[in-house]
Amino acid sequence: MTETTPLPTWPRHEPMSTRPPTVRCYHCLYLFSWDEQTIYQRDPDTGTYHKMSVAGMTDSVSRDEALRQGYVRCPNSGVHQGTSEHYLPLGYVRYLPPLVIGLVGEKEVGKTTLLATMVDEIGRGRMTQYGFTARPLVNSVHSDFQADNFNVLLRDGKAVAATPAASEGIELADAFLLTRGSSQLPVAFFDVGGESLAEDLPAIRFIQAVSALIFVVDPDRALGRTSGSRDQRGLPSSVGDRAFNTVLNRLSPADSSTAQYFGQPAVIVLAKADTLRFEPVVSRWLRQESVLAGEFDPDAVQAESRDLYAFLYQNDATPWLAPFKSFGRCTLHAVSATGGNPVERTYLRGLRPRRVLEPLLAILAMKGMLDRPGTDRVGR
Amino acid sequence: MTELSFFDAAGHRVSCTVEVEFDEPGGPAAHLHTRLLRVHAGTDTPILPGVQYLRQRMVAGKLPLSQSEPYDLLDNEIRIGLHLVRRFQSGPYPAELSQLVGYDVDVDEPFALFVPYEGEETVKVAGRLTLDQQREFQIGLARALWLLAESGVVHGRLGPDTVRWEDSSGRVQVVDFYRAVLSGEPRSQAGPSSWNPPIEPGEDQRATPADDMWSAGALTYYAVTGRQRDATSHVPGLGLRGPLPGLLEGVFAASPAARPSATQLLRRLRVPDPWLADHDGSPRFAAGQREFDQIMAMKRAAFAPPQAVAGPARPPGKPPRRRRRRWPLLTLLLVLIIFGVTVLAMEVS
Repeated sequence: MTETTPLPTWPRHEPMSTRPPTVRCYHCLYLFSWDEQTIYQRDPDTGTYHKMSVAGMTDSVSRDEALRQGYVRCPNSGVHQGTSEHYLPLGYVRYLPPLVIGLVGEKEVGKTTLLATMVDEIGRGRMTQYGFTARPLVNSVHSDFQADNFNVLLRDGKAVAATPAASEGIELADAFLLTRGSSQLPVAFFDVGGESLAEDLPAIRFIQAVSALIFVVDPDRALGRTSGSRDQRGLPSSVGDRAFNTVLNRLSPADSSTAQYFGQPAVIVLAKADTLRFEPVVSRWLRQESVLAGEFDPDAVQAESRDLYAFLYQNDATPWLAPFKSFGRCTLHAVSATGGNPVERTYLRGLRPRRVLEPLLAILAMKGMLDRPGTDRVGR
Repeated sequence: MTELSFFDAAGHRVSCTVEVEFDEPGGPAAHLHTRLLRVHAGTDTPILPGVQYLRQRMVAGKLPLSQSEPYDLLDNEIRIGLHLVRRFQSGPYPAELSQLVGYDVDVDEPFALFVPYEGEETVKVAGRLTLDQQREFQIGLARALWLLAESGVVHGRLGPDTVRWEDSSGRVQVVDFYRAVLSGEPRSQAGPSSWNPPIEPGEDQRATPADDMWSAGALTYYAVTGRQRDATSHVPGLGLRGPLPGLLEGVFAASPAARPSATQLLRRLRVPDPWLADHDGSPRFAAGQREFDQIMAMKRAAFAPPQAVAGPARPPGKPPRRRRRRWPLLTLLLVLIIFGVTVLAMEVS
């Protein structure tokens, strides 16, 4: 007996008869909808795009494969000054408007490493216990991310390379289609080179398009543990993370009634928390791996946020707490992506990621996408 | 009076002059004796200023090699005691746990020294606690469980003789760590006890804080009711009223993973996290928490739904006097007067 694999189908809540959703281009911020006809195929050798139509495709398997690998040309390409030809993966514009998550932090604070381990944990099915199944949204993007980061870190035990600067163009790091029941939600991660954010280049305007932010705090810098990171009074830098500052200066408040705060949910991740494992307050939270246990306790999220806020405050790292004061809903999390520091770019003791999905769950809770009691209290 | 030389918890050799105050009858095992020592006045207490007594646990007499259990129990009690002292060295040592002062094992009669225990054994007060004391007992025991879990220690023998109640301060103290293990180590092979959870066939043999949670639940039931519950039952106890069934919900679950944590128990008791009280009393940390609370309060106010517009608040006291509407009456009176004057004038004319 031959096992039959169900054919990929169009999202049930977005049938073909309805117009695809309006999506904001992450290159130029232009709002547009896909015309449901035209897609482009990318030549991996030359990097060029070739137009094709799916209107005449009657074989659903071929059609879906074409859609899965397809790209869409942003209608704003070359229209306005300073905009060149640019394309977006079709998966990005095909479903509901994606949950766009930006990872923010200066160079080498650990954003890519964090993202690589998050992607690995999602791929291991950790979201299943929260009712989600996940699959890569754009296969080519996922493959590239695996080759560049994931395999380096998790297969070879090596530190990943710094992310290219955003001046070379913002690109999707990786994206997943989370499915729960009949609902499908694309989640897209953007890992942006810290240098570019700190330099306030035009390419970082995509920040306006994000729906949630992960601010990554490097404890070495925040606590002034690296040489040159303390001022003449012996305190950590009063500037904080320049990438944080740039984002906070770039964003616009949600509406006039709450103009004091930004509307997107945000999380502050105390990364490399393994280096603080002998600090009781950090150790306490680092050992509570809720996602492994399939738990989500809003009260615990609140308590952890309060403790970590106080810990950073106690250590004069208040500039790194600026996002907490600026976003209406914001939580703090102790996270270790690797379990230890690399020695000459190699993790000698192997990798032990801890709590890397806690920030994502907090974001999903604050967006009302997590089906657990009390999520309306998270971050507020 | 004798000169007592020993190692303190930091490994430094110290000495003081002591006198045996009394020997305690019985003990956790044969040949493992306990006695109270009085530190001689005029000599410095080497470890803890102000402590005038020391509780000494010792292996009495020289035992044959085949009889190693007392030595093993004493070694283990020292190992766990050192672990706890080092765990809490950055702050005040928690009163909920007995405190190791020192030890010497390379002598004919190896011994460990502790700060004297507080209060009396639960077996002496069970069923006689007032409602307020019952709550204090539950909170104290939950705090002790939290401290043990935070320290990675599983006591493994919580019961009416190893959990004490201090009446005057309303405190609970967990003592006698000779069978304790670190979380994740194999459970102590001490044989079954009605105060320990039954081990299911095929269950992981590594110790977990959930083991102590089960025992603490049984002990809480005993302290409140004076009766020992059915050890095979997975429910708190039939016929109980008040908050106890809610507090012990899930505590006797067969699976350790299904039992609540000490933090959850504290939340059920609606008491603050012991972390704040015990472990980081630094003013800067507390100031950070206050700032967090202030910012959260501002956010909640900013995002709160708008209230109906109300007039200025009235001062408390007399209810506002209702203003009488006199204008209609005056108008009617004026109309009548005009009418009357008009009629009168017409009649005169």
